Amino acid sequence: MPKETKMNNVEVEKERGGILNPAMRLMRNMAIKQKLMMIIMLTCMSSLILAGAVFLIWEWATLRQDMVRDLSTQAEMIADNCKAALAFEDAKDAEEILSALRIEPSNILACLYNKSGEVFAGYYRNDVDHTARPASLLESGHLFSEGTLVVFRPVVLDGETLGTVCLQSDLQPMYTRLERNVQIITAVLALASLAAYLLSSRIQQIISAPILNLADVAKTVSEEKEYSTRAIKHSNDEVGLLIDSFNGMLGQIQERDSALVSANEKLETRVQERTSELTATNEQLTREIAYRKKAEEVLKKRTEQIIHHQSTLLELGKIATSDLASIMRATTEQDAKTLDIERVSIWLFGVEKSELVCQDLYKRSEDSHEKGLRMKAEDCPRYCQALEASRIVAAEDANKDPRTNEFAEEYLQSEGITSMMDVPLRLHGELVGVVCHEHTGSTREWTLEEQDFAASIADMITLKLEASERRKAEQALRESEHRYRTLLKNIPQKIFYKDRDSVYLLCNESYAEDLKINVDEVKGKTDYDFHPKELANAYRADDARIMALGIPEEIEEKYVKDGQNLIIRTLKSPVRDEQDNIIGIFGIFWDITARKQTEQALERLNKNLETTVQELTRSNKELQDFAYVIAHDLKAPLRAIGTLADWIVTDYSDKFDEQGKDQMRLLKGRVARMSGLIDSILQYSEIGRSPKHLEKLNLNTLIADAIAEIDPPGNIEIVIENELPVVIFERIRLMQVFQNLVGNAITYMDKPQGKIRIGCVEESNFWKFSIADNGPGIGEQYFEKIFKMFQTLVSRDEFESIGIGLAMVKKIVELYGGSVWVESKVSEGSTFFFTLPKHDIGAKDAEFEANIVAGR
Amino acid sequence: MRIRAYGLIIFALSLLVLPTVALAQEGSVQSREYQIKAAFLYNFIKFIDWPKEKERPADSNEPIAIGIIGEDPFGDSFEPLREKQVKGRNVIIKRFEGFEQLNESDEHDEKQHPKIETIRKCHVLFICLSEKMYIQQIIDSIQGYGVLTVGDMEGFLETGGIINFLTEEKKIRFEFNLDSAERSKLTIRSKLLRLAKRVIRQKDA
Repeated sequence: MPKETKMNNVEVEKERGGILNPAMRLMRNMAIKQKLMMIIMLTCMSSLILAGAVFLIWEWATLRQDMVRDLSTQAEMIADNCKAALAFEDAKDAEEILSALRIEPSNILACLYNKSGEVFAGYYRNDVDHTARPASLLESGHLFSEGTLVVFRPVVLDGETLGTVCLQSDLQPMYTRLERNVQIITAVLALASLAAYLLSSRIQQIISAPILNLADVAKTVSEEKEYSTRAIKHSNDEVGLLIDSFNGMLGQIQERDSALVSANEKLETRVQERTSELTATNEQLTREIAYRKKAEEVLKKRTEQIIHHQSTLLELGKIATSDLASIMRATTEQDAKTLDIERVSIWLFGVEKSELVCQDLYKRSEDSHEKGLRMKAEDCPRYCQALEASRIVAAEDANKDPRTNEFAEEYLQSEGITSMMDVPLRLHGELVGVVCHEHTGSTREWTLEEQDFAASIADMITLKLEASERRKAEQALRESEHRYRTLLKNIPQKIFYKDRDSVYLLCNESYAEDLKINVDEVKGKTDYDFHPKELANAYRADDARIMALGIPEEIEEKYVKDGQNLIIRTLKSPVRDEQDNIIGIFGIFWDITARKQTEQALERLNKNLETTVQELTRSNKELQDFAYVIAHDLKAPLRAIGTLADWIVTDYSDKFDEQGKDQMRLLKGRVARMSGLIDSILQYSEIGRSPKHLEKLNLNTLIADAIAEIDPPGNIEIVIENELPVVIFERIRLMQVFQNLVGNAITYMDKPQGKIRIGCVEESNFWKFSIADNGPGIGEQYFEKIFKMFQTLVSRDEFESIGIGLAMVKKIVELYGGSVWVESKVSEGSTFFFTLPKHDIGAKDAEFEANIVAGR
Repeated sequence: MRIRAYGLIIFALSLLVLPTVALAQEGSVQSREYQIKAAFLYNFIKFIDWPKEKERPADSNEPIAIGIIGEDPFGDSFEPLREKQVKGRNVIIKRFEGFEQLNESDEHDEKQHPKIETIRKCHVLFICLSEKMYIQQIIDSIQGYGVLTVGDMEGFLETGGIINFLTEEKKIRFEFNLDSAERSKLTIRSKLLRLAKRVIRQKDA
């Protein structure tokens, strides 16, 4: 739709253009006079026509209203008159009333409708059929239809609508009046236009006259090019302004015209000047071109030289050998030939940098090489300084140049050298030597190309030096790597190296063997590829932790090899790069399963032992307590028996015969023995029961006391072999030990002259005591047995012995961490040894000290 | 929708109206005739002016009374008109016994008879055929009280009645006695007079 509308617009535009444009064009070409007249006329006419049209429309509307009013009045009157006729249904009367409408010829028909809408009575104009009816039926009001006006009015009687009157009239009277009005308006228009024409033809001159005058002046100016002409001003309106501006414009044009003429003259002089300038420039250009040509020739020569130099360098560069000496020989030779120089040499600093050593010297005239010349640096400080400081030392007159005249007397003059060009050799930015070019004959100026070439030679030698150095370093590296590989390969421990993400980078043969792969297959794998998942997780967690903390760790963990669960000890350490960033982890681990098992077995055993000991201690204690209780309880009735026996002997001595007395004596003896036995048992069981009573004891006095208490018989000699130590011990127990051992020796002495020797030897952490006698001796089979309770080798009756002494000794010594044993030969004597630990080590000593202080 | 709704309403209304129309058509020629006459009686009121006290009584709600004396031939012809107002007032129908019975039932002085008083207060008095013998007496007793006397018998006007119905070409027409009307102080509008078949006027003669 919008598109269509647009098209329509375009068409309208076209149409307008088609009609209006020619009219406008026509108007444009008219004279101003006619234009003005035309405008006035058009304005007048159009306003008149508009006024006429409005008047007509107004008239038409008014007429219509009037007609409606007139007809309505008629209908109203008829309705009123027809009331009775309708009320009493008198159609004839009604028709009579209606027929009064005949007076007005424009009335076409009239109908009277009764209440039920039927036609009750009618009036019809002569030219109208009696069946004609109005187009529609309204109760009241009017309507225009088909050039007629129909009016309806209700017939109301006493508030009751009895029917409707309908009146139809044609509009002829209205049209007649309108026609007459149009005629009048046309006539007025004609008269008005005539008047307008006459008036406008006079009035337009007021405006057109000055404009026409101005046009005449302009025409004159443009045709005759006479810019001094001016238009005359008649009035002060816009036209007056126009004339003023026109005159002003003419003045400007006049000025510009004269300026243009003078500018033209100036331009000509400028052109002449430029032409002479250009000629001069041209001559200069010609001179320049000649100079350039000359320069080009020089350049060409130089280029040739450079090409020669380049080819030499290229040839030198092609030398395949890596032998430094032969490279230098070739270099000096080629260098000398290329630059046409008598002597070329290469010198390198020695290790100390204190002297230069000639590696190769080529003399061209002799075509010979030599080497080994030496030159001390301290002899030529300025020269060395120059080498350090500059890229090249080019001396045209070597004898006078301050950098080289140090050599003048000793070297240059003797060799006939006049010019020198020395290039320092630098390796890693450090001066390592020099390439010397020495010219003989008349002095020589070193061109830039030659200097460049010499520098290139030096660079090449530097490169070769560097290469040889690198070769050496590489060799060293290879050897070191080989050593390292051998180490890795042969070490039984498993070694690996992982990157930051715990991905294997390398491992050693031993580990690869475990993993059942080749060493080079490990790269890119992870623990998940080799180990059960939970183990791999644990390993990787360790890795992550160690890399995060950056601290090496030693870990014991599980490991599965060939389906066998092992325990390994792993040492993992983070690997850092030069910037100290952690880039991976290095690990080494080994199997500790066997050791671990042993440890565990040992631990288990220890535990068992501990329990056993505990049990033993407990049962021992119970036994001791039992023995003590028994012995203690036995003592009382025994004493009673002894007392009773005494009483019996006293009271009944006269009644007993000898046999009876003898038996009583036997009884008393037995009671006494029994009492001794019980005392011994009590003593024995006392050991370890009562709290220890430690004190510092000087054994020398203690032994003397013990012997004095024993009171040995005269035929027995007791000897103390050496000075005895001071020990920390329980006095009573130690007394018991010595008394028992010495007492035994005395008791069992079978020789007429008995000899007992007491000795002591200091060992690393214990004392070893010995008590030796020359008694009957003991068979080897009894060595163990004698230390058991109630064991005597001789019958009771022979020696008054209970068989508890040695057991007591053993018990005491062992209680204090020592041991007791016997060495003996039958009939030659026995030696009893026992040891006592020195209480001078660590905590035990402190414990003893504490006990001593406590006075226990 | 609205059109259909209107259609329905019209149909329903026509159903209500049809039976009454049918009933009316069924009625006898006589009842049809008196239905028209009843309507005409109403219409007469509209075209006739009564003296002041009856036209505009003190009590504006006082109905207009139509009296019927004698044997009533209208039957229920007034039924359709019952609700109708005329001149803004209700209309009531008052029926009276025959003139003879009126006098018989009461021995009072006939001029002072209370029933006669009532009749005198009526606006219209329709005198039935049965009272043909007493027309003169009836008219005399109400003369001057502004009662419009209507009848439907020959010679009614001549005996002093004001309006008489007659039938012409099966149509109900009427005639006036203007003198009688004047005597009863009644004015008949010209619109009504135009329609009269015959107008008696002594003065003209």
